[in-house]
Amino acid sequence: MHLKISRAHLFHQIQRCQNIVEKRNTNPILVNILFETVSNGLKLTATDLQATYSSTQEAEILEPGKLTVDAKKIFEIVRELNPEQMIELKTKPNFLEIFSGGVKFEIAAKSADEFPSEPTDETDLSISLPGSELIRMIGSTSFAMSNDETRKYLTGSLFEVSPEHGIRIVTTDGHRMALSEFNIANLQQSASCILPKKAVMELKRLAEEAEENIQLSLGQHQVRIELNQQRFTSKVIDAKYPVYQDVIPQSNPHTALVDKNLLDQALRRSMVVSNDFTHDVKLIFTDNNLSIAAHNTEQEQAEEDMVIAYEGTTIEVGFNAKYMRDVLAAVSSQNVRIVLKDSLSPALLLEEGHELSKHVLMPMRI
Amino acid sequence: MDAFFASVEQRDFPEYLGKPLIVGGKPDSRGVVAACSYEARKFGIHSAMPCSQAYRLCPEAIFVKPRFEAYKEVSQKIREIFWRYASRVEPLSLDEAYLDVTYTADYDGSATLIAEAIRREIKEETGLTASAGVSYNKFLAKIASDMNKPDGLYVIKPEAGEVFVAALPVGKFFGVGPATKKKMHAAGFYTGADIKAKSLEELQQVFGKSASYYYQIARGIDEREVRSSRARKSLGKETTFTTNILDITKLIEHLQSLAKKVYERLGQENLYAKTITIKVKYANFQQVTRSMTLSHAITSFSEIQCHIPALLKFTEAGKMPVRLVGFSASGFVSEAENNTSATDPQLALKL
Repeated sequence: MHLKISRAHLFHQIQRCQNIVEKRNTNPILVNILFETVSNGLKLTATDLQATYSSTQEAEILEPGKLTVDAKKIFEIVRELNPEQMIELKTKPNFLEIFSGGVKFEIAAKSADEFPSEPTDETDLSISLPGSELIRMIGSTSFAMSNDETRKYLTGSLFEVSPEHGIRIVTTDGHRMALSEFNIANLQQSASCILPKKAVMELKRLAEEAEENIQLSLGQHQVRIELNQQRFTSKVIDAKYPVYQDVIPQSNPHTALVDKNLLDQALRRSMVVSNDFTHDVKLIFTDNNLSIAAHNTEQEQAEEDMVIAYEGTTIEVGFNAKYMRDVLAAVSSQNVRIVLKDSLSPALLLEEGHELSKHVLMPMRI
Repeated sequence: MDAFFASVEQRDFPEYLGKPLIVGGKPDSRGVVAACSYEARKFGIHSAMPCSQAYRLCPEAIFVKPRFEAYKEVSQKIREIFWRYASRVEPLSLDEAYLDVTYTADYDGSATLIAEAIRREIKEETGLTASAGVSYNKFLAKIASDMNKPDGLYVIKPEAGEVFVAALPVGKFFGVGPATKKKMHAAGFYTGADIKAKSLEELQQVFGKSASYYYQIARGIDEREVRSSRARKSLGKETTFTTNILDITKLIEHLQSLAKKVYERLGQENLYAKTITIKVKYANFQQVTRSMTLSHAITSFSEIQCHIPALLKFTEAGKMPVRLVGFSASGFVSEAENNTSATDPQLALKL
């Protein structure tokens, strides 16, 4: 293999690969990145066997070939090279030579034969959607993914595609649930799968650099994300997702309209003296007033009132302030709608004006 | 179990096989026969007979002392097998028990097939034969279990119950010993039909307090429930393959299907388990178990499903051929305990 490539292109590719490479992987070949020449440039691939990322960038191919090198090492070298200079890569037996201006590196290379081949396409349904929508949806759901490995199916995000709802992302950790959707016209089929956290985060990263639409393909065992010359493939969490629809309150009778930023600031203040683990705060909704109170085991306490739009019975309800702030951070409207029933039933939090995102919070006993 | 103590002795000491064997006291002692092999029964020997009498009937019989430890071990094993299928188990003795399989889904709920499966598993796992009686109440099931001994099964279907009892000699009734039998014969009762012919008042004159019991069973009616002596501690299923399996995917499939059955049973019996255990017996009969305990009780099958491959990874499955796999759930907590909200102020969504 012998080629020339711009430092920016190469660095971008290696950086992406770094996200996939599992540092603690026991299989030595998996700490490497696969370099291979293709007709239009240089293709890099990294995998942890669950997820695989590959990207092709334009390069001047002088001699085709392929090999693998340690991901961390090549990343550290390329990061330090002059951004203005072209980089030349050249193989010699068991080594890769890297030239940039007057700099020359020689690092160990392994045969590409041992490197796992890229997974074949096993997806059934493909949709195309703007990166900005994906960022919004992931941003308003990803925080509610569970960390409880004993309930593996909750550690990911449910991606559901259907003609009725377009694409819908759902997450829950058993205490709260987040749902966000985006309508896609002319969908014929339905599909759903649970994406592992790593795949969700990779999807978000790709969405952030997408100027055009992202291609998202779902299958029973696999999800594929494609953008330009980049492709990310991941296994899905092979499990059944709980029936989340049932926990979304349908007929909570009392709605409060609350300024998002003021509420967030009040919660942040209250948390200073709330329990360090449970972050419980007490909210009391009365006519056009919301009282927020917190205290901890040392009897320290905080209290404040804020003006809200609310008419109805007085409701006293406890919430984990952290959970509530997670929701507020995802709300883009000025006000948030808090739809309540009583102190023990789930509360529904909605943006002002639309229901593209729904957040359900289970109260705390107070 | 058939000739229980004697069969265990014959299993553990093959030299006793095919010979009249008496477990109990010494032939010259005042002890009695605790159990005797079928070969000894041909000489008219039966349990509870004085050993001296048994010796006179068959001087060449082998007399051995009981080894209760060995019987207890088998007893425990068969009770474990009972619990695989029955939601209630009421032991009558070390080797006999009433089983309630009303809520058992295996074999489409067929009690006959379940009884056959239990007999088969007893044979495979203890090397001993058992006889079973299947019917719709305890009285008939108990009588049925004696009908086809040894190594047999007898079924009394609901529609046949009354006819069956009518033809039954009173001596075969459970609870009727030699004394009661004599008394019954004296009163003109020889079969169930004789009892059925009388009114409850007439029976009361002969049997007193027990009259209603006889009145009912003569009509094939017995409403007594199977009373479990203890709460279930674990619930499991296992399967022995016809040929050993090396393929780990197949083993996972087998375990998943066993786990599915166990999970369904947990639901039927309203049990919440925190611990799941897999058992793997290799072709060389070496056996390992691997278990894990979750922080909360299992409430969905997928929770079990995702742990099976992980548990299997800690065995040699896939490297060594496997002849048997088993799955069990244990560490039961009450519904209230499972509702962690009792201690956790954060309420949970009803997912």
